[in-house]
Amino acid sequence: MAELQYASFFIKDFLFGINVVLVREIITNAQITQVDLSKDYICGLMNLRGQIVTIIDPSIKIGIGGTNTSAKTKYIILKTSKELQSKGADNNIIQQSVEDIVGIKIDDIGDIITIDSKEIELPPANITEVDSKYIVGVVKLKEKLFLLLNIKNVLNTD
Amino acid sequence: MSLQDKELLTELISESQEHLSNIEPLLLELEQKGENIEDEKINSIFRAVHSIKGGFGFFGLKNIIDLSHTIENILSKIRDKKLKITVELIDAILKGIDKLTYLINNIDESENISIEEELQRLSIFTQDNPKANNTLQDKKDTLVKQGDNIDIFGKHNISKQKIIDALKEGKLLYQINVYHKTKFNEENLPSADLFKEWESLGDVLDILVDKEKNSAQKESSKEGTNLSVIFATVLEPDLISQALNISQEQIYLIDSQKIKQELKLAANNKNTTDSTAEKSNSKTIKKDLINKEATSDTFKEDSLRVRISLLNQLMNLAGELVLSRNQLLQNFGNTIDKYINTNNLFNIIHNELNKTFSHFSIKNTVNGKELENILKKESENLFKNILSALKIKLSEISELYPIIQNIDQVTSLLQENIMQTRLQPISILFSKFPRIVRDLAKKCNKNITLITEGQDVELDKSIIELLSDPLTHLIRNSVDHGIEDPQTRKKLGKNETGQIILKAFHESGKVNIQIIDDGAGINTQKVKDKAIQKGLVSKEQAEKLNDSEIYQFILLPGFSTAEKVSDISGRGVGMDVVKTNIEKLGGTIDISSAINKGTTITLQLPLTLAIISALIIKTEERLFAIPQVSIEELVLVRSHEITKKIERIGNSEVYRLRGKLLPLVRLANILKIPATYIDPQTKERKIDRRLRWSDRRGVAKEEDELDTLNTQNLTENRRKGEKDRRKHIINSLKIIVLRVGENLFGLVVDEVINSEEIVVKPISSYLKQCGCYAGATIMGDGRVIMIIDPNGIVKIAELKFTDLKKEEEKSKLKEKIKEDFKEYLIIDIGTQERLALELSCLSRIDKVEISHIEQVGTKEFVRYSDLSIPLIRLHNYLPLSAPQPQTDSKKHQMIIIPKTEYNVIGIAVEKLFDIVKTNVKIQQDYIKTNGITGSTIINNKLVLILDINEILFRAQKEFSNEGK
Repeated sequence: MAELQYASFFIKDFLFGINVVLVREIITNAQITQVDLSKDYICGLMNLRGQIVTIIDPSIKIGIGGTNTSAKTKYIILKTSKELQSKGADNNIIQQSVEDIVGIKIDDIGDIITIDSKEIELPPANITEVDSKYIVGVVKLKEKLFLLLNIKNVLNTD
Repeated sequence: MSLQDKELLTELISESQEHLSNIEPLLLELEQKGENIEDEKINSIFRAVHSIKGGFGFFGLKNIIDLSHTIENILSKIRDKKLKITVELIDAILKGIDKLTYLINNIDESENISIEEELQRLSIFTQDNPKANNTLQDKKDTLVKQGDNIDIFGKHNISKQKIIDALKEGKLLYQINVYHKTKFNEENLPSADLFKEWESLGDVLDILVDKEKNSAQKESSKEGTNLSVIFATVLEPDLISQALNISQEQIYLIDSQKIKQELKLAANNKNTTDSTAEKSNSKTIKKDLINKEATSDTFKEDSLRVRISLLNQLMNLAGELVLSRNQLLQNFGNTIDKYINTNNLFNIIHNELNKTFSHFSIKNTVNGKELENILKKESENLFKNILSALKIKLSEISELYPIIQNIDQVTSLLQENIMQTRLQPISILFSKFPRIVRDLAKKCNKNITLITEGQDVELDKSIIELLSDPLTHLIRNSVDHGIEDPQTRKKLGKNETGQIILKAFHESGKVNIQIIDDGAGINTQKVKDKAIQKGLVSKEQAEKLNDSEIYQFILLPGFSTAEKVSDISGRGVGMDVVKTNIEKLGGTIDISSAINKGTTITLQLPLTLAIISALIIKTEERLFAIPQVSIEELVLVRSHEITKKIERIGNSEVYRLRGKLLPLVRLANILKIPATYIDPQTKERKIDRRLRWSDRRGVAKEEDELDTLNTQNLTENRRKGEKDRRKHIINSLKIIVLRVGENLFGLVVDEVINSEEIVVKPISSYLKQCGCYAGATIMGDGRVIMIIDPNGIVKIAELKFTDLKKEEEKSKLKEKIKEDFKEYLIIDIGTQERLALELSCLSRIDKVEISHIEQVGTKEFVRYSDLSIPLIRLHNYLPLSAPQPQTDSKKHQMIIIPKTEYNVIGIAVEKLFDIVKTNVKIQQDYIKTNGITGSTIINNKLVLILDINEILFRAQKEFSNEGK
């Protein structure tokens, strides 16, 4: 019955969340270099202070259609599994991360939402647009349904 | 264990590991040379084991101590030539060393691991060997007894420190009873000088007058004193008696374990004093260890142990520095440009002043005109002032040039040197193979020698680590599958001992590692059959494959032609792992083989991982980097030459590069980017619908192209409006000739930008799937661009180089055949004979009206276009039968105009029979005379081949003679 903190963000009309521990930083206005021959859910590469970050568009991966890049577009840069290990994170958190430095493209950032693990329910069967393997669970917030993203599956290379 | 102890232990472990790695090759040498081995080498092995034993003695790790002690004994016997060097002996020692290595690597569990097997094996040899050739007494006699109840702390007054030091150095403690002639007592104490001879053998820790013995002795009226000496030495119990020349009854071995326990007990009781004592212990021990290190390897270079993580950090920092330097250089250049762009500045000033002026409505008055002039003058003055101020600024910037150059150079040197810190000689990798080959060969009952070359070749540490497994697998393959057993080899007439050569060398910027065996070679038929069996190819496809394609099957996972699977190999798991590992390093594998002769596997690896020289190119508005090491040359094909030089073979296009066929690949096609071109007039990018370069309508003229090149300003030319874009310089082909293994191919790009040193950043696993990228890098302006992997391009384009080789040979043959074939025109001049002229000698064939033929003296001339040319009849120049008389009704005369360096001449012919292409030999034996080169049979008729040049020469002479 633990309290968990999630970073929430919008992609299209959906409100998604990932464990806040996984978030390294959030970048606005970045230049993304496209990589030809890469899969469609890969937006490209970003130069983050000398390091190369692979940017993924989760909306394409999970099947809710691509997003347009607007002024509000942001990129959530995630921590690598090495970073999480050196910070002594829980194993289940480390499981969710990958070795490479990746970022995900979002339409807008939301607040940090604290929820009790009691409140997490299984995803309802009627969310047909999003494949259930990408959702760990849902939380009913006051106005919206908060979808907890299975970031590991989103970052999977299939 | 305290922290210092832990540190000590770690250091001890790494030192011991070094010792152990030095032992193995020496043992193998010992096996080979037997008794002929140099003494020094045996001593080295002995010293190494001894150091290990001594080092661990202090930590009380019994298993390690016992095992090393046993090995030491054997080595000492070998040194004394008491043991015969046999394979079994070396095997036992090697196994012992292996176990020792294992114990040391797993220090925490070393006490729980059994060493019984190794001790047993070794104990066979510690029994006395009849080969012993010394006159020492039976071993038992020379062994001193263990002394019980020797109270060294009570009776003797030795500092615990001395004891600890001695024990730590692996020395044994003895209590020796000595009878000295001199009378000593409390006033006249004995000194260590008495035992000077012993000094070289050990340390005299204390000398005590043995009161008990002395009191007992008083009655026997012997003069002299009984002394009790505590002596610390490395000498073993069986040697000490002889060494000191004292009967072994007088020597007692002190139980070191007991002493250690006593020491520990004492330590627990006296905490405060001991903690400082311990600290000084560890300091002295550390010092001792360091001293040992200094003395033992005085012939090595001064070196330092550095953490690998520190080196990695240095590498990263050097990489960042290179990036920043690139950025600095680029921005510096841009800044200069901005300052130099003064023209624009003038316009800006002028415009601004004009603007202000136009606010005033006095423009059209007389005063207004004056004002305008003044304004113009002022703006000019202003401009001049600003320019002179800028010039000062410029000179300041130009002073920065040398500084920036310096930074540039130092950065490059720094990066190079840091790279070198990570370079290690490949010998550390090669050193483990002699043992592996020896053991494996024994297991397979084969005789194999391993020869290594190029031990000094240096590679980045990370590459060496990743190479270890693949190389091991390849060597095992050679031993298991490659080299045949001695009987088979004898039957084939080969030396019964097989040979594997492991070679490393530098070539074209890459490190090559070759494994060459003189074994059975790869049976291509077997591989083909297995491939068909696995459903990888059909039977028909398999027949079309060439050797190198067949070898590629071996690299597939799960592929093996071994009939039985041994525990060494044959499961089909190894080769694809080798391939993956090598490719991870950015390398390539090449296999070549010949049945019954052997197999050669070549690995090519890049020299450095992080910073490389690359060529920046542009295609379809995207920039890419191509590693310099793969680039052979750059070729520019001008647009008017494209149709000439680009040929088609099958579905691919090739370029003929000095006789060799170079397959061409368009980078944009590989990356599936739609091809576009720039319309020279509208300067728009449009989609290029042409599929191939060779599909060009018409041929652009060379002169047009040259014009565009000769003009100083290309853009000016573009403005002139080159209507035909095919002739445009933009549409010439830029080909980058890349080398992959032994093959070359051409990558077509839009533009070559420049050459740069770039930091290779690895790409994430997501992008590795694309297959054509070797990494990414950050340009000076912060942009990310991809680094192309030529290997990947070859794979994606499915370039088949062997087909090209076939084509090359075919076309070479064609050329040759072409040369032999000649075209002849067979004519009749009204005589019986058939004459032939080489078609290449002819200019024209024409008909003239008889009326146009005029006679001047004996010569005939004919009006031909505007000229009057001589007309000759061949029968006048050749030994031929007279022509049949002409019929008067003839209106026209056919004439042939040959190609000639002399004046134009016409040859009268009656009939043209045929044009024949033949390579038939011209016989020169029978009919050889002026005007005829020989004869041949064409269409079953004898034909005389005319020597036109000779005939023309004669004709020329005649006609010019007439002139005289």
